[in-house]
Amino acid sequence: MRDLSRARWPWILVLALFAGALVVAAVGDRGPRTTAERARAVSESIACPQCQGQSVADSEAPSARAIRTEVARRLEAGETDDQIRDYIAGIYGEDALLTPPRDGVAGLIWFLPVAGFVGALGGLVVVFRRWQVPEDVEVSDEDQVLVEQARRSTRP
Amino acid sequence: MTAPVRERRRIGPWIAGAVLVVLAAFIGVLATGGGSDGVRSTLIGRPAPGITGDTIDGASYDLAQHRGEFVVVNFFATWCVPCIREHPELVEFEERHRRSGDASVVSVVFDSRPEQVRDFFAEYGGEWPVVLDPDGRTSLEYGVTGVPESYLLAPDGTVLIKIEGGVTAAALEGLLEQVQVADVEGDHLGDEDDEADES
Repeated sequence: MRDLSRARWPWILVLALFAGALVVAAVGDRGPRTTAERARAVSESIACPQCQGQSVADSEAPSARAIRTEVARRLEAGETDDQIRDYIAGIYGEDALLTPPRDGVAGLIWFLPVAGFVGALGGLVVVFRRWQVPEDVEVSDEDQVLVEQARRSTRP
Repeated sequence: MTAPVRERRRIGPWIAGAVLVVLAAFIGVLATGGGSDGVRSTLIGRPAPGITGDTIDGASYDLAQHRGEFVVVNFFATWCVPCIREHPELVEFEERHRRSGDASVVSVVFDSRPEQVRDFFAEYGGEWPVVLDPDGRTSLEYGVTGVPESYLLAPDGTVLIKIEGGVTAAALEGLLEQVQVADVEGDHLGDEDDEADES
């Protein structure tokens, strides 16, 4: 029983480290950002209307430049990042946003990877538990005789 | 020894079922989230964004002063070949309706310098207001994705239709007729991209 508990410690440690990393990733690096950093982040989340596969932040197309100017102007006016994204989506449609919405059916994109990960983790736990040798295994006399015979045959 | 095998067999269908559910969910997301029709039609039926600003002649323009007539808002650039091709058609349409006063044209400059625009109009004609849009804000508010692009506005200021690509005078006349018929019948025009395209 003590051996089994000792064997679990590395797994508990790994899980604790993983949970800690998730928490740090989720809540860390949330210090106050400058307006320029926010403008860059918002522009990176909007697709350039005139080009294929480029964000507004990376494009020099006239409409991308106009959107960057408008993003900066609205940030200065005190609007939130989401308000600005909603404004752009209201003009160009939801497809203009490079990050999918968090609600509706499209919100499954955010949920499914987490559900898949939790499911996979649960599956691993089930499999590992199966691999453990049951503690109440009793060795029969026949088994002991077989082991003894095998030992004798391998002795030099 | 046979018990674990039996258990493994029982888990198999569950795993297959879970994979199927995940796949079905992804297919559902892809099937319902990919429509692009909203991109082109967000303004249709809504009040047109205002257009105010200086024209290339140094005058000022305000779209709100053109209530009561149809307005063709045309976004163009001097370097754009389809814009050059559609220009005589706009000239023809504007001259015809300038006399009757029921429709007007306004052009909004898209990424061209004022002197280039003046040269453009000196070469290809056209006597309607040409509004400068130095920061691209008017183009942004109309959701312009390329030039030429035109919007037909109703006399009450709502956006009736968006036309991507070049227009022809005949197609614009056809749209006006359609709108007038639809008004009588109580219908609305939808988003009909390229309907008035030359080709």
